[in-house]
Amino acid sequence: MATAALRFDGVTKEFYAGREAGRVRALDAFSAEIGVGTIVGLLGPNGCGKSTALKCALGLLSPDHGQVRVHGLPAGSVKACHTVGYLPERGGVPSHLTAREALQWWAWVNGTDQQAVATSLEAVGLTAAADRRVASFSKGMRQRLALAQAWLPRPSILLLDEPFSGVDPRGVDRLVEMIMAEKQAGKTILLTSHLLPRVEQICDEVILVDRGRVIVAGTVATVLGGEPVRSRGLDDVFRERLEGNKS
Amino acid sequence: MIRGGPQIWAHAKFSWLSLQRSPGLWVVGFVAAMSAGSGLFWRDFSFGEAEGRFVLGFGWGLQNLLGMGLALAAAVQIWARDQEDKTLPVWRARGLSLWALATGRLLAAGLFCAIFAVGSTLVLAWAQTGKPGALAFAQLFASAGWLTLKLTLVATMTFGVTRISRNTGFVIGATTGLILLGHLRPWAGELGGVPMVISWLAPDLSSLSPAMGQQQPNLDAGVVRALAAAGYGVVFLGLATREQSNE
Ligand SMILES: Nc1ncnc2c1ncn2[C@@H]1O[C@H](COP(=O)(O)OP(=O)(O)O)[C@@H](O)[C@H]1O
Ligand SMILES: [Mg+2]
Repeated sequence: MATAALRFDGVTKEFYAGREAGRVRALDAFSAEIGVGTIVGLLGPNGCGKSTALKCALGLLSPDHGQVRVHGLPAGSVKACHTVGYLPERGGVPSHLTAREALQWWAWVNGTDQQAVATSLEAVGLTAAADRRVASFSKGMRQRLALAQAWLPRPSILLLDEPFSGVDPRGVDRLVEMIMAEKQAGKTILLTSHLLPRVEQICDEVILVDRGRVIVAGTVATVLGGEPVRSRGLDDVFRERLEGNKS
Repeated sequence: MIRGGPQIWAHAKFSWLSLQRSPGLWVVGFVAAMSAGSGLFWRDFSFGEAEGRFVLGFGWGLQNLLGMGLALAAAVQIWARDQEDKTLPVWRARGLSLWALATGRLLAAGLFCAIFAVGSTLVLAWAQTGKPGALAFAQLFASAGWLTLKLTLVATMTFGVTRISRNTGFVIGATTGLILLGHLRPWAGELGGVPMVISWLAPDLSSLSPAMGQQQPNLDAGVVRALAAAGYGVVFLGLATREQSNE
């Protein structure tokens, strides 16, 4: 069996959330496998542990139990880190630089050639705004810059935390195009999103999470019930499954 | 993947731009240097010898005090911007060196401190002698050099404190506490026991100060003092690599 691009093995992660709440379990024996070259959507209600799962895969957080492997390497090891690109839920781009400076700096620290900067700016449609400070950017522009930053060093795995949040519909179209192009290039992409129709459109597989546990996982078709009944969308499945998981 | 050196350099430039693009800091720095050298404007009124000496002593003291405040402000500026932009998780996710990051920030803060130290020393020497450019290069180098070392150490202490908390108020308060402690060393040493041990938490900043009330900056601080300062610097830099961040 080929090594999965990402493999979560019974990952449990708790946080201390203040004296009243005590410890909250963000991930509860979370297991999943993301194959090389697939686009997988990590779905679930707010606070179900999606971002925590991504951070564990990046080595930003270490699980209390279980482990995450990136191409078979322990998550967070330098070798594993060099294969991933990360779009955080918020921020991640330096506000005091211009878009061009930010990417030049990022290319420099990552040992990527500087020619990639201009092409990346072009790809995310920021060429005209390249010499404006990021502080003056709209949410959508920042998001596009953050995406350009994530794939500038040519990682083989992209972890995108809510890439569409706060972006207008045309902006989302643009991001979807970019993500599809990356898929064509053979990248593995794990993304979280609440835009279920978009997820349905671009993802090969989905993982539905509730309270830190995987409820359903599989190809979009299987999760939708096997046959392509177009009247049923991911959001219906989503609601039913979460309803069923209430008790 | 590139090695530490270029990463340090890239991050130094990154942090330097953060300082360079904070106009408030430069205005405050300029005003601070001018107030320290305000004896310059008073010397033409023929005060007595004693008053003149007092004003100059006051100036050297002010340079020292305001310099430390500025070093603290510069370090907080660099750190707080990175916190706000959440660039640290992205840096860490790529497995980039945290030592390179801390050292780069330190170089940027150090350059800022050096500019203040040289500028204010020139103004003070002018005030003292009545001639601009009166200080011989060796003298300027020694006087401003020691002040730069001291101020850079203060900046490093600030970065080190971010190991404990992400709260700006705490970082400023705790660093101010360490600065005070660093000036109590001779006194605590005489007391011995617990006060002496507590005073070791901070480097002996008093040994790096120009002697208050004297017309000459302190030029005789020896190699041992510089090495002790550097030792503390390395420890605080090590703490800074483990900065608290909200992933
Ligand atoms: N640093 C943290 N400290 C305390 N609690 C946290 C922290 N990060 C996440 N949590 C909690 O863990 C749970 C999962 O959070 P998260 O992974 O961000 O959810 P999602 O991304 O699915 O919205 C939430 O209950 C959240 O409040
Ligand atoms: Mg989230």
